[in-house]
Amino acid sequence: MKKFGGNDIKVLMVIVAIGLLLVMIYVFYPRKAASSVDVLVDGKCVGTYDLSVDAIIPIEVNGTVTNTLEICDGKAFMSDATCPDKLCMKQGKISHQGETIVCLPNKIVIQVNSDDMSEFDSVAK
Amino acid sequence: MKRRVSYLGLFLALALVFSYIENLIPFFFGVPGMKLGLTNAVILLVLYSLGTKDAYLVSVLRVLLAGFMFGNAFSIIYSLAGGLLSLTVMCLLKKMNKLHLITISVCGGIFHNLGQILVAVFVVENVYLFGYFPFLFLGGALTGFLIGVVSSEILKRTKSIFYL
Repeated sequence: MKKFGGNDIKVLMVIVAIGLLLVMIYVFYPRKAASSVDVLVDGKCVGTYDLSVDAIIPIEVNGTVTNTLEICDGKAFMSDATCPDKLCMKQGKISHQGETIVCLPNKIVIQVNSDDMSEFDSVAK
Repeated sequence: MKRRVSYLGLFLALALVFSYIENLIPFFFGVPGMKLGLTNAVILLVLYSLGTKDAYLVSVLRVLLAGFMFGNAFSIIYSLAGGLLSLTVMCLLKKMNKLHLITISVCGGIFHNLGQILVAVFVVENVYLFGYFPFLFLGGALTGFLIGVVSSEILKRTKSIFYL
């Protein structure tokens, strides 16, 4: 087996640098104030809700309610889910443009919108 | 040949036990879905003691069996994407023979998360998922490092047993 040497230190340093860069991009990425959230089931938008209005929104997948989205104080979060791991509930509250809550088992994505989505987003989609 | 088969069975059982442990005790790193990747230690051991082909065999069988026992169809797809991408990267790096196991494990951890997020982007058809990538990148590197240290220590001490 190879000894731990200079090559390893170089590669690990590059990896740490890339990681820090990615986090910096994430932290300093300009976020526009958001106005609404889209609810997407299986990639299709099934509803758009205003973030300034408090609401409790049941989300239906194939006719049965699987998740409950709650909007409170301008923030949206998943308050209930039928899936066993409840990861969507652990993803917390979202209120900035581009933030998402994802429920993989039920194929639900909650996505924050702003009034003017940038050019890049429409192309990348 | 007989020894190889029995080792494969042993490693597969070990990988399944680790999958089970990770299911019982979620090592939570603050990022949803983040795992320690204990099974990757087994895959690394197979890769270094038995070889590339056997590592793929154990990896795929582990994902399928663990998926049927503790998961569902979706978790199989995610694990398979992550596991195969990370194993492929680790095999290539090992073939280059320039890097230590720990570094290779770090790269494997990162690519495991990359594979999973790629599948997730396709499943929910939403590119915004890549927003999680900075955390998954660092998380993969950290867990990969821990697993790499553990595996290299195990290999050091079990070398004489495993080399067939």
